[in-house]
Amino acid sequence: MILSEASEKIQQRKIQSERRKCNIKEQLVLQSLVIPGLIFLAVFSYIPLMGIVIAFQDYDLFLGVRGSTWVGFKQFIDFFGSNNFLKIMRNTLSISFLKLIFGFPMPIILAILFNEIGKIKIKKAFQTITYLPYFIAWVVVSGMIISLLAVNNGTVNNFLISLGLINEPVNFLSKPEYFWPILVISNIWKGSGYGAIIYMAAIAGINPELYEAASIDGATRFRSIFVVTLPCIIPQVAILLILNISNILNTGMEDILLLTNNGDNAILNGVSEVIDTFVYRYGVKLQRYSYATAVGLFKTVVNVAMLFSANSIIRKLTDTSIW
Amino acid sequence: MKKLKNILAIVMALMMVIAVSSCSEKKEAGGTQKVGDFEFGKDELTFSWYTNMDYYVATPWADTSQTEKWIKENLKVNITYIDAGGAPEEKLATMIVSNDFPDLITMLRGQESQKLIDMNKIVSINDFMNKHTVMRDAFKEGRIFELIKNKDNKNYEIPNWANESGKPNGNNIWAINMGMYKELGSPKLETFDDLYNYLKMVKNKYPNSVPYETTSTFQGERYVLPGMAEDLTPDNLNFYSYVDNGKLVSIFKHPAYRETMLYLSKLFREKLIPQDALSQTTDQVTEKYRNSQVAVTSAALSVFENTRADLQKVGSDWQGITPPMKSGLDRKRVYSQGFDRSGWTEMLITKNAKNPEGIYAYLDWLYSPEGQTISYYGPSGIYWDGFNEKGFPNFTQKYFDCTPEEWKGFKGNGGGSGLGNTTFVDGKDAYLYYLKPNGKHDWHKEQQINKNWPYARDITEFAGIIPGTSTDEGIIYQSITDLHSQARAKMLFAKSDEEVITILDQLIAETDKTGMDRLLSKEETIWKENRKRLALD
Amino acid sequence: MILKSRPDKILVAFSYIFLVLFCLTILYPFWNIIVISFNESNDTARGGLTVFTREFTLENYKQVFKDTRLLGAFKISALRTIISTFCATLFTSMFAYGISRKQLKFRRFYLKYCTLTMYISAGLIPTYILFRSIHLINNFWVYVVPWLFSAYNMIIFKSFFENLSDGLIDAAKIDGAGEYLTFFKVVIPVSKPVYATLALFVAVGQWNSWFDSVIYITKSELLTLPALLRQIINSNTVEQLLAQLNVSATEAIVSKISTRSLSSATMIVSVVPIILVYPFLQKYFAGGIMLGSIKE
Repeated sequence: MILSEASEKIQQRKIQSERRKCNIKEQLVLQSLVIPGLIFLAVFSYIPLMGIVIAFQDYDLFLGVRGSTWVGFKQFIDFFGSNNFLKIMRNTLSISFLKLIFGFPMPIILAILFNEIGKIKIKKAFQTITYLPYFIAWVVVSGMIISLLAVNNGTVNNFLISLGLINEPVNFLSKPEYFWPILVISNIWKGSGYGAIIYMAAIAGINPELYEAASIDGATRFRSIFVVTLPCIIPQVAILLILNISNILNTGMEDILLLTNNGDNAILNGVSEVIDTFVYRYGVKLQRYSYATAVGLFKTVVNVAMLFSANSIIRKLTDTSIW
Repeated sequence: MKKLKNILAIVMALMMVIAVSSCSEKKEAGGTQKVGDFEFGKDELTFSWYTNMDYYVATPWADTSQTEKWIKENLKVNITYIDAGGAPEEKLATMIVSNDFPDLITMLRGQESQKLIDMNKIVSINDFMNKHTVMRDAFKEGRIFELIKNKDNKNYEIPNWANESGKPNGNNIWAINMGMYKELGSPKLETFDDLYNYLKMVKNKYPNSVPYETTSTFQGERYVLPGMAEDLTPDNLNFYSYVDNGKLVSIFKHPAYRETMLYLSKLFREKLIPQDALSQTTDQVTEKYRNSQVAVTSAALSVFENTRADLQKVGSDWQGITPPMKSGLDRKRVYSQGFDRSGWTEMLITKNAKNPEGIYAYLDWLYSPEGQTISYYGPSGIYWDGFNEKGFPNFTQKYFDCTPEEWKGFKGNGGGSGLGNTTFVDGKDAYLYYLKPNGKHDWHKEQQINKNWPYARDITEFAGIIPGTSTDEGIIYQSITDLHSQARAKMLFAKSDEEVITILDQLIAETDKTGMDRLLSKEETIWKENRKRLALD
Repeated sequence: MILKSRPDKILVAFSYIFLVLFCLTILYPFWNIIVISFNESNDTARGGLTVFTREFTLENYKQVFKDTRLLGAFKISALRTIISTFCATLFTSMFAYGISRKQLKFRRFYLKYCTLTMYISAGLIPTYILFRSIHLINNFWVYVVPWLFSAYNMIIFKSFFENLSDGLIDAAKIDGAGEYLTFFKVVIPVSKPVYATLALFVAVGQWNSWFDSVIYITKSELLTLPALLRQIINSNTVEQLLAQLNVSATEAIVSKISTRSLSSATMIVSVVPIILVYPFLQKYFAGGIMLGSIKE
């Protein structure tokens, strides 16, 4: 197939340019592109890191870092030993995985479908509409969901009753088994359109010659999605997948808090308490800075481990890597 | 090459760390303590005022508020209000970290404020009290300044909404939908059994109604518990304790708590309490109120009072009722509310202030009848004209005729960020002076006077017994709060009385395991100390 | 061009149907919010508001615009968005370009150095101390300087740059251009889709940012729009809160505007600028790689 020849040629070029010699002057110029960023990170990310030490202290705002007592791993032990720990980890991992498995493909699908719309004006309209929910604050979205799922006069309940599927209204937001689906679906609704933008840019960057080559070979548009589009955006997909996996312990908190009535809906606590909500309630509101920092450090360690693993696995599969 | 780069990076990092740390701790707290030569009202007074509450919003001084303009012109006072933008914990933390304080802070009394005092950031006010004496004299009888003295025997805290008279202040009532009540024959509603029967009647006649609306934060527990025994108030649920023979015992062990949860669980099972009691939002509750679906509710007045118009459209109205109680108890000792004479928030003058005496003088003036009147009703000549012989303002016709919009536009910031004098506003016989021309009170006041105040208990002796957030007992307190809210939810959803008891027993066991006795003993220490200061023992 | 076959027709039909349904699930709630923002507050609380306003009013918007600081906050947010987007996109992409060049020494080390920062965050207090020592507190530049570089965006840029045809860059080098010239004259024009995308992301983040305004700024003239909007909403819920705290509510006049109406109006106010700007950026997504620069 001409397609494979074309991509082979592209590969050859890549190898050729890598072999180009690089002299000292060129190297310095290249480095100068990068140095400002490195300094920036040193100042804004690494310097404040000195503050991580408070995870090993019993930090007191008034006494400062120098004056607070050292407690070693006490904060960590408190966290692991708390009778909430297993529940929190289970919820955190489950919610993240579910959001990933069901939420990750959707922006890609949307971007591909957009690409199939011929008329520019309609395409633009679809695009503009789908990214709108991203800008609707969770406060408003959760209000809408609570209203839709209400027991009294809730649209969903009214609809199901009129279809004869149920006899009595279902108290969706007070039943633990519905919580995760509600959370995942609302996140997909809210974020897919905006997330599709990245993939649309990637698709826009695909060389049209590849599509022509495919059609000359007899592929339909439908088939060319699988033969051209998807393979070409694999690098972006891979990178975003790695980044998402490595954020596995960052479930976000706003949506959960709002859908559990700020934690007041204690019936849902068993499925809704995640690391972030726990830290917010125990660490931030109670101003237990050391505790919050320790848990944050724990999250970081796990996330970085996930980053390295995800990166190597995906590198083996697709030749793409973060570094 | 690589090694050199690494060393360079480390050296750079070290230099920055040194620079950063030496910068942060140098600033000395400014503030001279001028004694005596400042004359309030004649000399200029400028200061910054920060309110450490999440709802507070700062407004520009003397911009639209007539009150503030008058104060600026006549008393030469200039204030810069500062707010926390909804994130008070973070804002306060950054202030502490950078040692950059405003001149005056309003915050809840608790561990943070105590720490500020301990770290020597707050100015003591005893000297000022002796020169500007309004508050000092007002609080003498109730021993309020005595109560909140610091361990070094000086006063630092200025109470907000203190109550010298011992007359209650409170806005929470039980209320019924009069339309429904009349249609059902106006049955007796004195005991919880009466209430239960009434709710069942409501459900039968109006299947789509909400017989008892417990509001969006499920306040039901707080309204039913005090009625189930003598000497209890909703605050016992905040303290997680009650007094038994001079000692503090876990509230969960009180028989009244068991009865409360059995009662509420039964109501929930029989659908007399909305099934989404735990998940509904304020908006959903308001919707129900407005559509006249609710027969009985228990809440703060302002949660439902502005839905009266909707009820009146269908010939109904809200009416407060005497709080129901368990039959057989001594009505005089069954309360529905508690009130604390030492007020709600407090004010602290920081050492950053250049003129601490001036600030105290201003607050003292605010507390006086003149200050309160001007704060709430603006300068003399518009809504009021002069004081009568009892010291209260003579209202003009304009006051009775003005609309809510006019009123709000006129007032500006008024009492919200200022200093509240409960006694002047509500206490003693103050309420007698806010009568409308027809000799009646407005509806809100009426409900307060008749349905809240008679059943309110003075709980000043328990001021500040809840331990601070980052003490060990504070952590225990938070754990118990969590256990409580989860158990409460489960009990509500329980399918039978036996199940409720099981869950409750489990709750008792778990709270004991978490350290309830340590919490109680800490509370008791503070309580006993309060009693000593209030000369109650 | 491409033959239309049966699978294709089904594909296109499916695309339309799916997208229409998806858009409806979005349009309806969004429209609902608009309706609420134009509906009288007490009436909204009665529930049942769906497609049309029952009692039209501009009162909610009036309440929002009544605050004289609104225009100032709008200017601050707009200024910050424009400056920050421009600077940050440039700064980050420059770094990403350098990193994408395989000839760069220590490349892998630099990348690890960067990606680590995405996960480890020191937290509020150390950051505040840092900002204070470099005089960013109460300073407009606190909205720009700390945002100049984003490791996340950098990785996305890098991924794009790496997938650019090397022929393109070689062609420029052969013509004698150095790295900077290549970057500005060749790489940027060809990467329009990714620039448009990331500029949009950065701009949206800047426009909606309120937390840094709350923490690092006390001068009210430097507040951003979302921070101010939050304050407006918060100040309206005072009375309810005060009442629940058992404080005498003699002076608490209940506001005519509920939180729900107000937050709907403020949401529309803050989203409209973005909706207006986005279509302009869309045209950059249509452009593809330049043809004809690669000579076989």
